[in-house]
Amino acid sequence: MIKTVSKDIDENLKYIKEVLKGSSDLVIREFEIGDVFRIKMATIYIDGLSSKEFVSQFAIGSLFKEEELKSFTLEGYKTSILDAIKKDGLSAADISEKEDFEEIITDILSGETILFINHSTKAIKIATKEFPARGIDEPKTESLVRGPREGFVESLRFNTALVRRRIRDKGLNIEMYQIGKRSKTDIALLFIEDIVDPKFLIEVRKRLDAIDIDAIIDSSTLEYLIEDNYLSPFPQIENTERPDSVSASLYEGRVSLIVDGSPFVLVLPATIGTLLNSSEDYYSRWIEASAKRILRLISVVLILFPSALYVAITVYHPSILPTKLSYYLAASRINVPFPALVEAIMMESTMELLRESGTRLSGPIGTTIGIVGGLIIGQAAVEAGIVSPLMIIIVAISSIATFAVPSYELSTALRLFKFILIVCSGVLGLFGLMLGVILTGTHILSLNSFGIPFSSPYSGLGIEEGDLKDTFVKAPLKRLWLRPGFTFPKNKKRMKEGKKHEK
Amino acid sequence: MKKIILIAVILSLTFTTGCWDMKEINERIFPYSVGLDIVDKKDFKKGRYEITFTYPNINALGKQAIQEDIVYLASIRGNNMFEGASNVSDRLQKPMFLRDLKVVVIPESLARDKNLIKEIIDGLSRDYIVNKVINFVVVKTTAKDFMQTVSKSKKQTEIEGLLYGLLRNEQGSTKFINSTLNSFVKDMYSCGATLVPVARREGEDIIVDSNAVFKDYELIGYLNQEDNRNIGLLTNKTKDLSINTEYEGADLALRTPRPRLKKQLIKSEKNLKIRYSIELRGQMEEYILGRGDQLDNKEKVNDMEKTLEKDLKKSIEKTIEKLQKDLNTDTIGVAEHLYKFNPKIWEEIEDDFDDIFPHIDIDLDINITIRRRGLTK
Amino acid sequence: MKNDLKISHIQLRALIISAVIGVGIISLPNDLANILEKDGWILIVLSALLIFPIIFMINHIFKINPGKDYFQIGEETLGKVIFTICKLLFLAYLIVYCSYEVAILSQLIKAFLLHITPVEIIIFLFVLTSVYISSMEIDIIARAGYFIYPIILIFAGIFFFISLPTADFSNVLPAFQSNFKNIPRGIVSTFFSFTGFEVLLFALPYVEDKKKALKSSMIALGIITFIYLLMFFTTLTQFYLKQLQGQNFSLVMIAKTVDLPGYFLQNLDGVVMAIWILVVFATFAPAFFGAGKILSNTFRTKSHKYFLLGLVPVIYYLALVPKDYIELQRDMLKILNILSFLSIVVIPFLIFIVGIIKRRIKA
Repeated sequence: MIKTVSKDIDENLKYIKEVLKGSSDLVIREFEIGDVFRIKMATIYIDGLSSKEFVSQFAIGSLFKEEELKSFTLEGYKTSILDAIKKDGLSAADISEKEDFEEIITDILSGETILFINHSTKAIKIATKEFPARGIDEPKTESLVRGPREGFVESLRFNTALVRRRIRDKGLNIEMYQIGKRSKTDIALLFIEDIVDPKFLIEVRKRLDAIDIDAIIDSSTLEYLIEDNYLSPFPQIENTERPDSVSASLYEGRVSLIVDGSPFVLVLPATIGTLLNSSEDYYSRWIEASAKRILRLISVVLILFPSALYVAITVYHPSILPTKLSYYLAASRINVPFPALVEAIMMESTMELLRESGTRLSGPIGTTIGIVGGLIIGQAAVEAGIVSPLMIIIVAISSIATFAVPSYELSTALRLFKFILIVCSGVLGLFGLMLGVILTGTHILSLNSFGIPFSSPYSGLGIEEGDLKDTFVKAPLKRLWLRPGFTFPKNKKRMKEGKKHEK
Repeated sequence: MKKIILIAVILSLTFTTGCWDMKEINERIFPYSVGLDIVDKKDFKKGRYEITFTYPNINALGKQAIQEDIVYLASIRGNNMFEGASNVSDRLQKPMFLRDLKVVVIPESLARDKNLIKEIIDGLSRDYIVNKVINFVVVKTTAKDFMQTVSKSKKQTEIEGLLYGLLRNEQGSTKFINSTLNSFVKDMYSCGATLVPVARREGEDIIVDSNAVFKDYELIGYLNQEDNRNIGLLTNKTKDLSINTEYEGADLALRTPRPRLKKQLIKSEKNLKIRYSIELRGQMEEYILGRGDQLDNKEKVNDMEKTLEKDLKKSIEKTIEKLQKDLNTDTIGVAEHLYKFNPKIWEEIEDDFDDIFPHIDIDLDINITIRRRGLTK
Repeated sequence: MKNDLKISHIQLRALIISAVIGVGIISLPNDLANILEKDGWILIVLSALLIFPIIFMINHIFKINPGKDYFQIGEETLGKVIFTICKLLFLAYLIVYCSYEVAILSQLIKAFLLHITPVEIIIFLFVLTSVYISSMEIDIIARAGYFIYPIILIFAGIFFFISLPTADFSNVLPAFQSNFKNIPRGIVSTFFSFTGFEVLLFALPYVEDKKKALKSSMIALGIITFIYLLMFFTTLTQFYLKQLQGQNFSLVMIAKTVDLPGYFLQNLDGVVMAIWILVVFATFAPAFFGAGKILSNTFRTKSHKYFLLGLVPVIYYLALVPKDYIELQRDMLKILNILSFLSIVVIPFLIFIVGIIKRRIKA
């Protein structure tokens, strides 16, 4: 049964105290105003979530000051007090009437102040949300040489403002959702109405509506709830801390989800192409950007294959190597007591260990661990003759390559597959490696992100023949006069047709 | 979930069932040359050949070298090379892997036996592992003796073997014509004859300076350096050539990279006549001090060119005569040319080409130009 | 028929190319040289010209029956009983085709990559790996085709470029000296090199841009012909004719004889084999998928996954039936030729003709 505000203020207050009896941070201030007739009122808010100053000055303060209220009679009070308070009594900017206790309690818990007035069946909600928030500073995870230095923060409104500031587009829609049966977390769905593919939007909304969970703490929780294949190690939703990259992706016909309390904003769909792009690509010259993209693709190959190939070749097919190299390799492994498979897994695991301990320690200690571990362990292993020097080089290259992949989640997934490939090639050589590649490839190809192939824009879907302008190269901006096709945008044109425009 | 089970099944299957071929790279021996000697018939029980492998001593390579001998030698009896390679396991602790085999040393006695050579060529071509550009070399002693010299040779620094290094270096010189398995087979099919370099030892040096002529898989004779140079010219295999002559009492040397060759059938009646046009353009390497003004004189230069042409022509004619009369082998690509460009004539003479070849008229048209004369006059 | 599957016409083209070019390419040049000597390219061109009307016909079938898949069309035009027999033929063809592919693949892998590993393991693992992709829908297979298509192009390109330094272009001569009576026999065997395009029967209903589908499939045919011709001439310039005729796998032979300057890249046969596994996979997966689809259609089940798992032992067993190379290359290929002719030429032709006649009668 929905409980609504009753006429008796004491009853209301009693109810609220009953519901929130465990909340010691609840502040109830009861007061009476009026010269002729004393009107009983009460403000309720949560200490720390609302601005105390704002409540005293623009709610309680302005009520006390208002002359008209003081002269109200009982008659007038019963009929028009609510309007009078709304019109003259409150100087706060954002107020609204509330009847439903369910809503009222949610409002109180999210930091609003509720004003109860005796004999009135409606309460007034005064927007006083203000809670400790981090100031806007540079994104920690995605730093660029050139580009804006603003990053998202934990507060949803700041974040939508950061996006809105960049896009003064009347098409920009910000749809609000409250997800989490108990936590009631605010979630904003951002898209540009006349660009995004409606079918895609329907799918996103459907999945948001289908969520059934008690609390959403971070955007990652949301990500894991709405992604297509939750078993896959690959991220099917991108996250970013950069408002500029969110704004840019909105114009690519993509959709973004902001979760209150998380500085990581979700952007979907995510595909291999978007995960390998960095927003810096769009801030640097096209040749540089293209070279970097090709380098990143190479780094993907370098993460996956070198150790696996080392194992496959030294153990099964030394014939592939040029004679001199195979003699050299044999000579360098002459004292190594382990099989190449064990050697590779051992060294790769050591590298993972170093990385893990490095991330747990912040600042200079972290880097020290990296250097000490990398240099000393590697050197000592070679000196001791338990690892071939080539193995150290390979492990070093493949772990450096992981940092060249912009998306941390993607590089983690690739590292996982690296181990699978090492095992495959350790068991059946190149044939095993190829079977591993087929399995990995099939998995990547089978993934979809909200109906869009994860392998886009290399999937051949939604892209015209020979249209590699924004894939593994980035064409000059003037040539990018169409939005990327893999998101099937409603409105394709970005600028006037290239060739005419160039003059 | 099903996918995960499927992947797990595949992975565990590969894990439990794989690894048959596992063999670490340092657990293999990579021989780079093999020699085959025929043994006396009385001794056939153990195998027809005495097979000698040389292979690099891995312990002597690299930074952490702990031994000095770079090359090891292993000799074994066997009926063929592959049997030999597997028989070696009774004296070596690691298996042999024939992939990096680079040189096959054939003693003269073996080279005279047509069937044995055919067997060897077939075995090498048929095998999946052996490299198809493996080199052949003929020696006049036994292969084992020769290979022992090679392994002890002072110049044995090349990681892939001295002999292979020498044979590979053929590009620069015109002293011999290299022969690989692929070219051997190709030549046998196209001309019925091929040339294989001959190596000999001189003191502690290994010298490759002549070629053996194989006709129909059988050694029938030898050609010297000059012949090799001429054949190289006539088959367009030469990449860099030095020629010299005596001109007015002084030595005149010319270096001509990339000679050009054109073959043409000019008379197809009774007696076939084929013209070989060779065009050489080069740079003067050496003449004599103080006669620089001669080089400004067009007629003198023409005369020099004529002298060089005459000399070269004489030498080539001698080689051709040797090929036609003494050896009766077509290693200069006459048959191939006829087959490709005059298929109808070829059809008529194909069957008795051996009788016709000595009587084919080969016309030489040599054109030498002195293009550059060096830094000084 | 599911409507959310879509294939673009570019994917269709790539799918055809990767499905057609498969095991055959590695021995195609020497097969051609054995039949028609240096004029073997004529066979490629003639076969391509023969395939042309078949592709047109298949396209036409789907054009006059929009929104239906092959099984629905077949059932409606030929009747349930006849079409069930047709389906069984088609199924038999696909299964034998799959077995033949893995049989050849396992032979070569054993020869070049894994010398001691039993053939059974190689076959079993390869088929099992393919189950994963074949259990998906056709759009995923089309994506796979689109990924393998550039690999095939690079594969062909690498062959061409590595053999350039040692190529002797006069080897192409003499032209037109062969015995042209061999052409009919030759076409029968080169026709097999073009099978695989039956993937059209499964893919066409889902192609987004129906108008471009025909054009795309024709371009695909053109590219396939070009790649075959390129490979034939590359091997021809590399070897003397009799040498070529004596070989079993000319492309591997090229990889084994190339000698690039600097000698860093030697012994490319291992690399070639590794890439070739992917190429074979791309022909195997669609055929395997097709077999599963036919079964699931016949037994009216929603998913074809379990049929694929059931087919694994069948293919495994069939691939091990040919005891030696002769049985594999002669007997199995003969059966395969007949089956492929029946199922991808005769049956579509029947549907085409009956469909047209039925329309005439109605009108």
